[in-house]
Amino acid sequence: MLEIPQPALRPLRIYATDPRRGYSAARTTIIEIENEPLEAGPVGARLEVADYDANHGIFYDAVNLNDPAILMQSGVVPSEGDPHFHQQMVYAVASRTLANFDRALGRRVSMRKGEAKTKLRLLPHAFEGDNAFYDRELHAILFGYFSADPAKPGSNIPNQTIFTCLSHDIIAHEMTHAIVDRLRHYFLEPSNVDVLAFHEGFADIVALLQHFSYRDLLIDEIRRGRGDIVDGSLLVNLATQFGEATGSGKALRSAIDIKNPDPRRYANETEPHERGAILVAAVFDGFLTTFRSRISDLVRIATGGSGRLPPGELHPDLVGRIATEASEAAQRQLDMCIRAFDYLPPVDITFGDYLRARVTADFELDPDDEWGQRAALIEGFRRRGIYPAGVTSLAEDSLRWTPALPGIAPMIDSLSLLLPQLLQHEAQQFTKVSSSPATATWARKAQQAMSGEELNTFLPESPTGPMRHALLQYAQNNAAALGLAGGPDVYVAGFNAVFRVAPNGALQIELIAQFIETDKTSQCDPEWGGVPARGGTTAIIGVDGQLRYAIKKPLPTAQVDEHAREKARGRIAEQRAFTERLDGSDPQTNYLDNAGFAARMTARMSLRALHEGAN
Amino acid sequence: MALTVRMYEVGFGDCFLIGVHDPAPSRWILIDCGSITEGKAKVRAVVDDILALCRNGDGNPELALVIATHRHKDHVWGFDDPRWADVLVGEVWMPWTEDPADPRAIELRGRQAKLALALAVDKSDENPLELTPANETVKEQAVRALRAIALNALTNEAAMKTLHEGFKGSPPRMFLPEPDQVCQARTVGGVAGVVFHVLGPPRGDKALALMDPPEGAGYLRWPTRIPPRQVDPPFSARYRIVDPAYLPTVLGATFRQSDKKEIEKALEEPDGFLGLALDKAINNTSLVIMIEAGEHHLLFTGDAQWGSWQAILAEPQCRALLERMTLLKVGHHGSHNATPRALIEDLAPEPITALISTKPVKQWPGIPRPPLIDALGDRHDRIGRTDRELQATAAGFSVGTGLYVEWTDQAPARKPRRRAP
Repeated sequence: MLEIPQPALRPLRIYATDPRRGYSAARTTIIEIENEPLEAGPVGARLEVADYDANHGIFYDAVNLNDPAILMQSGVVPSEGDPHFHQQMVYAVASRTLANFDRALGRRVSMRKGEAKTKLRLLPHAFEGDNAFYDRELHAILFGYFSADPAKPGSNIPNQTIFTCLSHDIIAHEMTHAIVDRLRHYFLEPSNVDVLAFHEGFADIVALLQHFSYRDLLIDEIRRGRGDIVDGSLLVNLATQFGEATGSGKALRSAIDIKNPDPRRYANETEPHERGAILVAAVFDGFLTTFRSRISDLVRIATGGSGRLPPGELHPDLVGRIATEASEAAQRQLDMCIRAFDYLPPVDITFGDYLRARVTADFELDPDDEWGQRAALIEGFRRRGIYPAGVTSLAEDSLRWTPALPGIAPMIDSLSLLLPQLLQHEAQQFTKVSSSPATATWARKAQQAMSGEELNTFLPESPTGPMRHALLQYAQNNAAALGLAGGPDVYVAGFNAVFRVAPNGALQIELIAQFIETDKTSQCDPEWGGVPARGGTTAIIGVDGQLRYAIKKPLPTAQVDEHAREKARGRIAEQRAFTERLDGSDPQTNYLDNAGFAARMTARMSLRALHEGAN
Repeated sequence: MALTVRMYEVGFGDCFLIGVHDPAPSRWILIDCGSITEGKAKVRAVVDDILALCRNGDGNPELALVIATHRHKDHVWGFDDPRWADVLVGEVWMPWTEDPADPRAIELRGRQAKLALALAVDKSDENPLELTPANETVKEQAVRALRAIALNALTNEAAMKTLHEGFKGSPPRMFLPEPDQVCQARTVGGVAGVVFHVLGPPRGDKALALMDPPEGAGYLRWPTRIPPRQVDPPFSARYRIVDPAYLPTVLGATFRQSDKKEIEKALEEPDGFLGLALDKAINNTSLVIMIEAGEHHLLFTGDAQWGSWQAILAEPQCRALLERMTLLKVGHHGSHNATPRALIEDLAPEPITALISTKPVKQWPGIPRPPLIDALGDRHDRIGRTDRELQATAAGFSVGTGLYVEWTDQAPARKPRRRAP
């Protein structure tokens, strides 16, 4: 018998609209995800669904997605009463989100955390409660379920059980938290007012854009014709509808303020979800502008140039074309949003940093910007009063990170032996896991090898040991150019090779390393509450070994020049002031014991508490 | 003008008696009377002293003004003493949130009370801070202290009844600040030459959010929902894995018994957050009043917290007044959130007198907050603490051993404060 090659994709069914708005009205769709070898759970290479209900102390039977009866019908049929479907949906959406990151970042994001926790764990029914959260220590996403309020059931019946794991946007949102935490470990440390807001806002952006990338769903929605495709209000309506489910549901509704954004909100808002919503709106604004310019020809054809659609139903072909444009624009936008990550500083992020990173990342890959996406994005930020610090104008070239000055010893010198090894490793990782059964087995084994995200969790004798050593040497030798103090305690928070194909077809290979330094005084001082002052640099190195960008957030040390030191002092003072503000508004501050006081900022890193507050 | 401020040693609580002695006879103003750490007997002794001191020309006890800053037990408990019925009172001031006719106040009180009742599982009269059970773990100790905070919100009815309906002479009740008034200056009949500036609590919608217990914010659902709404396992029994041989934990899968434990532990409910949030909400209803008598500007802050202070400091008129402050009743027994840094560092550049009514509670080492005390000390402020009698004597306060620390303006004269424009 001939062996039939494995397909690249696996179709699975999900609920496409939030079932909180009523299961009867819930819409379903089929999405395609990477086909990887699965065990019952489902348990894949990087994700593991474990259906343990801690409230009742029971396990629910795990679904085997390779069961022919399930394969034949593109996955388990959506049902709120069947935990098998819940497991499938959580896995499918999480896998899709992960794949979006892989694709945009040009490498496989590792979900491995040490020896014991090799996969990110998803618990679809972990507890009873109207919440879902990613927990770093557990290395898991816990979804809650709860009964609809008997007094205010909304569109549900009183006491009906509502599952957070059946909301596409909640899954994508939490998954993004988990991935971002892998990519940037320090983005949960609230060192300024933007940090947690960025975590929340970015998770919402990914959830929203991923939702928009499902073409079939869009076709249905456009046909139903809620809102106008010409002025884009259709997408705004859809966004608010999708956004209801995400962490900042309420905020998102108010955030899609395309017509008259209020620039004062960014100056005054401090609550992470509300502030994150401003970021969502800024990005969404850019997306909408791009979408409009991309469908302008279709609109002209459909309206005979009048700009007014004829009454009645839209032509199905037109619906199909518009849905394609919308879903492709969303996917491209999502890629851009994620790609910016490699150009972010490793600590203390602000929305302004994110804008600069996006503009830089996008310019590097696509200097021409045919559709004006970058200009639209900058405009979206400008309208909301988000200006990066230390930038003289909002022109594209002043927003891009300043390229590194030549004169630094090429990294290739110190890494000449290791570099090919790393490139080969990352390249293999990036090859489709499922292309052959042999690769699949290999990929499982390779999980035990190395990857940048877990560089420091490895023992010195592991393959990453020498690489880490070489990187430290490099950082210490080139401290001044990298904006580091260069002491012995520089920490390498991540190191990756990335492969990307530019729109013109060119293959781009780059190495990205994150260096961190921690201020020792603030680390021991309980007044800082466990989140010390940190500095750090993201170094982007060409494959020739030359430093291309050094994206710095230095500490005010003697090694950096006077101007940078002054700025760094300001940044640290800002962190102190922010800590004080949080202390002031937190009712618990008064009654903490000494240990609790010294760890209070660490406690505020909890996404669980953050999400509870948002409900 | 001869002025005294007698700060009673009511432990973790407040009770201040202000005497205006010029011209004679003395007139008296009482601000708060309560405690959560002290027993009935101690509070009774304090009331004894007040009643003995405030005699009018007829030899009967009389107070020109009673101010109850907010309804926490540590500020009002003493008013449940029946003897208050015989005290002649000129006026009673309470925060606007106590107004029985204001619909917003009614709603707010209702929500606060509902949460307080829900939190106080055991409504017995015993004080959780006074108990010292043997073999108590550190955690149990912390929980006991948190219960005390929850119970603090359960003001006893008798005390509030005295404030709202009691006293002799049917004094009028004022609920302050009055609507649309910023930094209102008031006077009280019979106390000539003394002006009371009402700085807080704020009244706007934004302010209301500060005083609202977290019910509206959804905290009640989980993890501290009250009462627990039990939900059965959400799926039919046939999906449950019953045969131990098929449990993932034994299957050699990655999900281990230890993972199970870890998850259960992580989901344990954090203790007392609701109680603390309620505590803050009620503290933010505190009346903040500056008493102006001659060149003296005495600031009584109740337990106003961060949110309330933000609103006060945002008013230029209030800031101008605060700059003239000569004596500060340090808010909330010296805690972290009740004294804004700006109040000490920016608004009061010259030394002041600081009165701190406090008593360390083992579980709350942050009250009074050491850096705050240090900062006051560094500025050479004169500090009077109810729990440091010797220190207070050394600093020139008069002390009634075991009963009070008293400030008088006979103490070393201070020149009037001048600030560069």
